[in-house]
Order: sequence, then C-alpha cells, then structure tokens
Amino acid sequence: MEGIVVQGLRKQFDPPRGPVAADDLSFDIREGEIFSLLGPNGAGKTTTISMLSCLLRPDVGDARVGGFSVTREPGKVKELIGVVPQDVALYEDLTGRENLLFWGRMYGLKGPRLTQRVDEVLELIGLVDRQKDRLGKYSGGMKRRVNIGAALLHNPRFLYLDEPTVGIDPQSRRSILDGVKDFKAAGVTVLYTTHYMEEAQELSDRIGILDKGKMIALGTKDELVHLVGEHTRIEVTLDREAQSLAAQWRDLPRVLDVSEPEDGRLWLLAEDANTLMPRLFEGARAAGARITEINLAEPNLETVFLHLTGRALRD
Amino acid sequence: MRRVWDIAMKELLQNRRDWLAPLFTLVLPAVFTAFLGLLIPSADEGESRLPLALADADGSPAAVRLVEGLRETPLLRLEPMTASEVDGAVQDQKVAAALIIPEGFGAAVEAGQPAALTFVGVQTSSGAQSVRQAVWSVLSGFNTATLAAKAAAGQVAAETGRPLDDTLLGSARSLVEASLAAPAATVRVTDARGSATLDAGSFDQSSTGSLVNWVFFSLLGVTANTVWERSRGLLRRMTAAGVRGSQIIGGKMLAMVILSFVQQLLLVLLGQFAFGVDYFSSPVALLVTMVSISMLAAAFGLLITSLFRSEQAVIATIIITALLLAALGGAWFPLEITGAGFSRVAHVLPSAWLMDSLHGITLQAWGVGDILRPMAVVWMWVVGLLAIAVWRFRPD
Amino acid sequence: MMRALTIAWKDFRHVYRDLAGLAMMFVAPLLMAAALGAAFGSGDNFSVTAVKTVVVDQDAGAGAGTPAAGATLTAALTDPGMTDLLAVTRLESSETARAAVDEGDAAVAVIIPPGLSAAVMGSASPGTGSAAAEVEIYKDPALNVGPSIVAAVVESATQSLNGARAAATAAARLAMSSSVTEPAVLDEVASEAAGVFARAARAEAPVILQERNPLIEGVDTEKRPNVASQVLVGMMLFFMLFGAATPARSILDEHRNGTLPRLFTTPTRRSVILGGKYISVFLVVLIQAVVLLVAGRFLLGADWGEPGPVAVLTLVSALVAASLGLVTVSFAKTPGQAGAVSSAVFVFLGLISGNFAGTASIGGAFAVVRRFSPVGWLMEGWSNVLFGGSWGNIALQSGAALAFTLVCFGIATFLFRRRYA
Repeated sequence: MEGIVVQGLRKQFDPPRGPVAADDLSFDIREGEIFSLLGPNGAGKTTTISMLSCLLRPDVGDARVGGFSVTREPGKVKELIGVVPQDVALYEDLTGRENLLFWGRMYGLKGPRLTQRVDEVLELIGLVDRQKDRLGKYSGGMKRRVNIGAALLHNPRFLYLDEPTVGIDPQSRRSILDGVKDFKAAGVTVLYTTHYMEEAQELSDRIGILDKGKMIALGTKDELVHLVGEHTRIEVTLDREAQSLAAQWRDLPRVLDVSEPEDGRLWLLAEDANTLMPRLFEGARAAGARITEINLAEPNLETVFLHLTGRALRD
Repeated sequence: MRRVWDIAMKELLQNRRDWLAPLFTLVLPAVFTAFLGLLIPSADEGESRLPLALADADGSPAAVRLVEGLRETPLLRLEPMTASEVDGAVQDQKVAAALIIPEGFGAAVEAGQPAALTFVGVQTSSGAQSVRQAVWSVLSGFNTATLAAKAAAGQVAAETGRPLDDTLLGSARSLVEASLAAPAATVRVTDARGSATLDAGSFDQSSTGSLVNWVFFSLLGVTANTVWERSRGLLRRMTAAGVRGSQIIGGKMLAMVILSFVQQLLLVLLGQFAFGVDYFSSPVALLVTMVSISMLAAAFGLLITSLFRSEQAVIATIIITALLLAALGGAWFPLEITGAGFSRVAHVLPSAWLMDSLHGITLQAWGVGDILRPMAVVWMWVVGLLAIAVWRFRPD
Repeated sequence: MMRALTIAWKDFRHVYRDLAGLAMMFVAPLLMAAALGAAFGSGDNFSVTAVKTVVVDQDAGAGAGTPAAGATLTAALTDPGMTDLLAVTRLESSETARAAVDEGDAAVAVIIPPGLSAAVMGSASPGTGSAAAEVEIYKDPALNVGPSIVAAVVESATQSLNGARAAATAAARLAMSSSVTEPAVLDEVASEAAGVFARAARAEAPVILQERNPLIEGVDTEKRPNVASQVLVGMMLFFMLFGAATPARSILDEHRNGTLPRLFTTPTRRSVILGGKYISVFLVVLIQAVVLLVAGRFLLGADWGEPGPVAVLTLVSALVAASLGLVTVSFAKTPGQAGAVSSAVFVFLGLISGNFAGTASIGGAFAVVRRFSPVGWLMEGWSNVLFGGSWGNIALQSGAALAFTLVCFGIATFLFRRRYA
C-alpha cells in the first residue's frame, strides 16, 4: 500500500513578495510509520500539513496520499485522513458527545455505526464520564483529547497532528504521546509536526527537519545525528570577557563552531571535549574571567539543527 | 486620573482607526434627521405640500367651486385621477390621501339634499390626518356659504314674494361669498415666538430626536471593544499592572462621553445651520442637556458591558435599548400625540425628559432654571445605572 | 443533504442558546409593537385627554338685545359635548392667559378681542364695515395636537359668526334690490336670515365627509387593521434582519475559531457546508417570523389577512432577511465588524423602507425610495394583505423582493467562495 508521496510542493503567500512557506518539498512517508516534521515556529510545518489535507492548494507540485492526488482528488484524500488542528477547533456550546456526533456526520458516518464509533472514541480518550458536559466546561487537556478524538471517528488510515502538545500540562502531553504510539500500533500512518525535539526523538520512525520552507535534513534519528558526527556541544557561562574569549576560542584546533555570546553565555561545537576543556579554563583564567557554569551535551536533533542552520531550534 | 485619561485616549484612538465608527456617529444620524424632517411636512414650504388625489366624477359648478377652494389651500397639492385609481394610489403611498366627489354631488347640493364626499386615507397616517383637516376646513367653508346663501335667499323670497329659483340663489351665493371673502372675525395662531402654525415643526422634532436616538449607537464600538478586551484577558492584564477597576470604568466612560458629545455637537450644528432649528437660545442650558445625554449614554454603555460577556449580546442589547428608549421617549414622534396616559408612563424613561428639555430649549427658549427638573430625573438615572455598572463590573 | 442539515441544525441550536439574541429576535419587536400600539390606541381612535385651555373674553357685545359674539365663542368651547376634549378655565386678562401658557399651566389660550361683536354686527354692508376682529390662539410651541382641537372649535364658531353675517348682508342687499327700502324691514330680513343660518348651521352640514381606508384592488370591503399589527409588521421585518445576521455571522466565528478550516478537511464539500449555513439562517428567521405572527395574533389581536398570501409573504420575508443577513456578513472580516456593518445597513434599510413608521407614512418621494429596498417591497406587500388584499396584491411585491434576494444570495455566495475557496 502506498503511503504519502510529496513531489516538489511550493507555496508562497501574497506573491511575488510574500514569504515562501514551502519551497520545493519532496519526501515520502511510508505506510504505518510515524513521521515527524521538526522545525522552529514559522518553518512551514502548518503550511505543509494544510497542503496535504487539501486546505491549501500548492502553487507548484503535488502530493499523493494513499494513492490519491491532493490537487485532483481532494474528496478521496479527505476520506482517508484525520486532521487534528493546532488550536482546539470544536464547538464550545455543544457537549463533548455532541461535538463527536457532529464531526462523525461530517466524515459521512451515520446510524448505529456513528454511535458505536462515538462510544469507542469516548472510551479511547477517557471522557465517557464527562461526555454530557458542554465543552466550555472542560479543562484544556480534556479539550485537546476531544480535539484529537474528532479526527479518529472514521478510522482514518492517515492521521495528521499539528503541534498537538503546545501549551498543555505534562500529564496530558504524556497521554497524547502514548496515544500516538497506540495509533501506530493499530496500523495508522501518523504525520506529526512539532518544534519539541524530544517529542520527535521519542516518537518518530523518521524525521524531516524544516527551516524557512525548505527540508534541510531527513532520516531516522540516528541518521540525522550522524550528520553532525561525533561532536559535542559545550555550553559555557562566563562572568566577563565573553566576547574576546569567543573570538579567541574560534581559532582553537578541533573547535568547529562558536556562537555569538549573549549575557556571558556561549556554546562551542567540538570534536573532542576531553582535550578541549582544560584549554577553555586556561584561556578564561588568562583573560581574567571565570567560568561560572559549563555543560556538555551529546549530539541530538538540537545539535543537528544547530549544525545545519547556525541557530537554536527555539529561537 | 492619568490612567483614566490614558485609557480614554486609547479608546478614542481605536475608534478613529475603525472606519465604521463615523458611519454610526455622523452619517446615519444626519441621514435620519433629514429623512424624518422631510417625512413630516410643514405648510410654509411649497415643495413639501401633501399630495391629495382628487377624483371629481361630478364636474358641476358646485364641485368646481369646492375644487377651487382645495387648490387654494397652501398645505395641499392636488393630483387629479379617476375614482378607480385613488385606492391604489393611497395604498402605494403615492399620495397622502384621496377625495372622491361622487356623480350627482352638484345636483344634491343645489336641491338642498344632503350629500357626502368620500375621503380615503390610512387612519393611522399622520399625513392623511393633516390632509383630512385641510379638506374639512375647505368643506366647512363651502357648507357655510351654501347655508348662508340658502338662508338669505329663502328669507328674501318669503318677504318679497320673489320665486326661490336658481337666479335668486345664485345672487345670494355671490353676495355671501363676497362677504365671506372679507370676514369680520378671523383667527390667528401664535406662540411665544410670534406667528405660528399648527403643524409639528418637522425639523424641530427630527433634529432633537436624532440626538437622543443615535447617541446610543455611537457607543457600539467602545462597549463591544470592552467585552472583547475582557474575553482576551486584556482587562485582567490592566488590573495586574496596578490599574484599579474604577480607573478602567472611568477611562471607558470618559471615552464614551467624549464620543457621544462630539456626535451631538455635530448634530446640533447641522440642526442649527442646515435645518434652522433654534438650539442656541440658551447655550448653558443646551450644554447641560448635552452633557447629561452623554453621561446617560455612557452609563448605559457601561452597564451593558458589565452585564454581558459576548460581543453578540452587547450588540443586541444596545440596539434594543436604543430603539426602545428613542421610540418610547418621544424621539421618533412627539409624545403629545399619544395622549396623557402614555406620556406619563413614558416619562419613567430618561429619554422622555431629555426630549422635554430639548423641545423646551429649541421651541420655548428655556433657560437653565427650566431644565433643572428634567435634568434631575436624568441624573437620577445616570447615578443609578452607574452604581449598578460599577458594582457588577469584573475585569475577568 | 444530510450533512447540510446537520450543519444547519448545529447552528440553529447555537442561536437558541443565546439569550440576548433571542430577546432581540422575539421580545424586542413585540415590545415595540405593543408599546406603539398602546401609544396610538389599540383601535381606530386616537385617545387624547382634555386639553387645558384658558379663555379670555374681552368682547363687550354690540348692544342690548343681541347676544355677544364673544359669549357665543366661549359657549362653543364650554359646550357640554366638548368636556372630554377641552378643560376650559376663564381668565380676566390676556397677560395672565399668556403667562399660564408660558408657564406650562395651560396648553393653549384663546383671547377674544374687545371689538368682536362690533365687527360682526357692526355693518351689514360689505366694504363699509369696521376692521376685522382677530381671535388669537396662543399656544405652547411644543404642542400641536391639543391646540389643533381648540383651533378647530374656534374656527368653526368664527365661521358661523361670519356665515350669519354673510347671510344677513346678502339678505339685506337682495331685499334692497327687490325694492324693499324700509330700514326696519331690511333689518328684520337680515336678522331673520342670520337666525335661519344659525339654526341650519347647528343641524347637520349639507355636505359631509365620509372617511374610509383605501380599498385593495379587487376587494370591495374595507378592512381596518389595528395599529399594533401595522407596527409589528415593520418591527418584525426589521428584527428579522438581525435574526438572520446572527447565524450568518457564525461563518466568521467558525473561521476565527478554526472549526471552519477543520470542516474543510472532512470529506464534506464546501458547497454543502455553505448550504448548511444558509439553511440555518433561513430556518432561524422563518421561525422568528412565524412566532411573531402567532404572538401578534394572540397577544396584540392582529388580523393578518388571507392565510395563503400571508404564508407566501412569510416565506419571502424569511428569504429576504436571510439573504440580507448573509450579504452584509460576507463583506466583513471579523464578527465584530460584521455586527457593526449589518446594524448600520439594517437601520438604514429600515429607515427608507418605512419599518419605523408602521404602515403609516406619507406619500411622495418616499413611495419611490422604498422600492429600492427589498424590505420596502415587503412592507408594501404586508400592508396590502393587512388591508384585505389577496394573491393579486402581493404578486409584484413578492416577485420584486425575490429578485433582490437572488442578487444578495449571489453576491454572498461569490464572496464566501472566493474567500474560503
């Protein structure tokens, strides 16, 4: 069975001067895997997911979802996908159950099948007890669960989740992440966007890193980390002279990159932290400064992003 | 006080950025004034004579005399048509009313038989009522002449033995008409300003009515904005920044007072210079009344923002309140035509007292002393509404 | 179709959960109609309480034996038949009378000049008489209805005086031309003629005015709808526009809340989604109209007219309101903006269509202006059935209103599709 095949998607808002939110994107998502789009805010994640859910028409290119084209067969595509929008998109004045019934009908369910699916989903999201309360009375986490539940009613083959964990408590977040793993276990293909590196690392079979509308890297976590090599990220906080020391440290052997210092903090990307560390302390002392804090980080996706763009993921 | 001022200025800035605000504040009220003013005609302008459809199925000399009398009436503009056309014309409001002179009318009058004319008009139409009065006045003159001629001719015939024929009646009639043309007793209507008419001074009513009617609509912006600010947590943020609830209320209120005062000022100037309404007989009394109107409107606006949480509810409530206060307080039509009972009940509303005050200022040259009583009632409302508004106001 | 109805049903319930909206849709028009109906009397008659009138009679009379003209005038004002209309107080001087009006103690003052009898009786021959005597009616400038009644009574009495004088003058002149020369006989003929006139003037007038409402084309009998029903038609149509704008605005609400884009990710087609919105708007105003018509029937005693045409007009009114609600919303970007735009447009339409004047406005330019508004056509149609009209009297009006409706639906659909395509 075919998963999702993206071929040369491009979208520019307010052409010709507007931002290019997706720039010649091509990738594929395999049937049954969890695929994460990782990138900072404004990288083009929501634009990409909107094009794959037939909400936005690409300027150039096409994508096939389960074998159907998003530009030419949007009706067929929509029957296969379930979309969980970034913000809670539900009716506050309807109860949880009424919301699910409504969205089920919108996906074309009816009769006993509809009620059966609503019951199942209520069970799944753990809101059987509160199903008759208006949504307005739910907590933020409960609304999030209904928000996801509404996309599951028609048993979609593909589930898109657009930053589903933004601004919620750790407990709800954990339950969502576990839920996503369950969907995969049930054979659903998941497209997950996030700017939390940890989530992408934990969940994904494969990860695509987006920046400024471009796919700058794609692969499994290990493949991506390998891009950086056996590099270590060293975070240093100095009480003074950060500027001059940063310039000085850029010339040290085995130092690949040094950031611009900010409030006395800076980081270095180095090939061999063990030999480098004493030289850092030495340099600081010579400059009359003191290192007040130092951290070592093994390579991860954050390091990858840093390596590829020169910026931190959460800038 | 500084913060109150800052909040008010922010509101005014937002109001100025909103292209819809001038529509409510200025354009619609001006259109409303002009439209209502033109709708209520006044006798001294030839242009706004009331159209009367006239179907003369008789054509006798008596009918011609009657039509001549109608033609000379300054309030009416005659539109000849056939009897079958008049009902449609009245129903479609092409004319204010219609008069049908039936066949045989002249013969009946000559023979001294009772005759009847048919007046067609919608009972509740003010235009039809004015026309009816004018027609009745002409008809009663006609009746007087007919009766006087008959009395004179009959008496002469009895005294001299002359036959009571058309010649005698005709001579009597022309003598009577000559005498009535120079009546010994006349009636003149005056008021404090000199010579007066009995028609509702059209712009006197519509211009003052507009002030009261539209002042509430100008608050839509500020009130809806306040509710929106509350729903987005902006008001709570203000409180978190140390702004007291009373300061928020004060700022909003100041903005509303300024907005509605500017609106009133423009309407007053429009009324004074474009429509000839005499607003400035006592500038102090006018100023006090205008400030009171603004305060009342602001108090209403604040109360509504205190009581409702959604923009939808605020818009709905403001429109209902504005229409009810205006219509029942006498801003659309003078309360005197509704009778004393209704008028007394309507004077529970502050808008009725505001209209009293405005009428007093524009029509009777009321001074500050005269408006004290109506303004006292209005300020009782202001204080009451504000008290509830402040009590119920929650920033979140 | 099922999905469109599901969307319609959801929106419909949303409307009925909003209390303020319901108050505007149902309570406000009924309240306005009831209040204005009470203001103008629920039947055909204007109810007016007695007008406070002060009279100053300065007329001394013309001599012994003849009744003073001033007394005749005063008698007309204090006639027992007038006590319901006029509350008359006599005062001694014109200054106190004016002061009473100026201070608001009286609505109107009637000031009878000293020489009234002399002017009326003075000379039987025209041209040689003394100057005309002027009866002054001094009124409160803010009042018109009460003073009009007083003026009508005074004018009628004055006309009788003038008529009697005319009869006497004419009789004397005719007698002279028939060779009667003796002054005593001439005087007698003159005064007899005046007497005959006075008696005849008190009896029924030779020509009377019969009043009726306009007859509707093809209908022979006159039907008099009560005031409340005439006001309610205008208010119903006006508030139906607001009734329509509320659910129409939900399109913008859903866009802002993200549920509209989410709907677009489901296999439900956009035309179906928009169709569902249209259906809910239409149903909401249709129910509003039916409730108001029924409430008007039972609470305000309104007799709407022939059921068939009333039903058609109700449907057309709902279509017009729905299309206007949608088209005003389609121009706006946010719900707040939509609220303001539609309120402005609706108040303006109400103004030019005559919604605030009941069906009681006046002729001329107004009849032309209102036809530029679909609501104006509806007002015309409703007025026709109220006054007893049937199919023939609403065909043109309904057709014109529907044409406007099609245009409005077209514009709204075009704008919505362009924005959400």
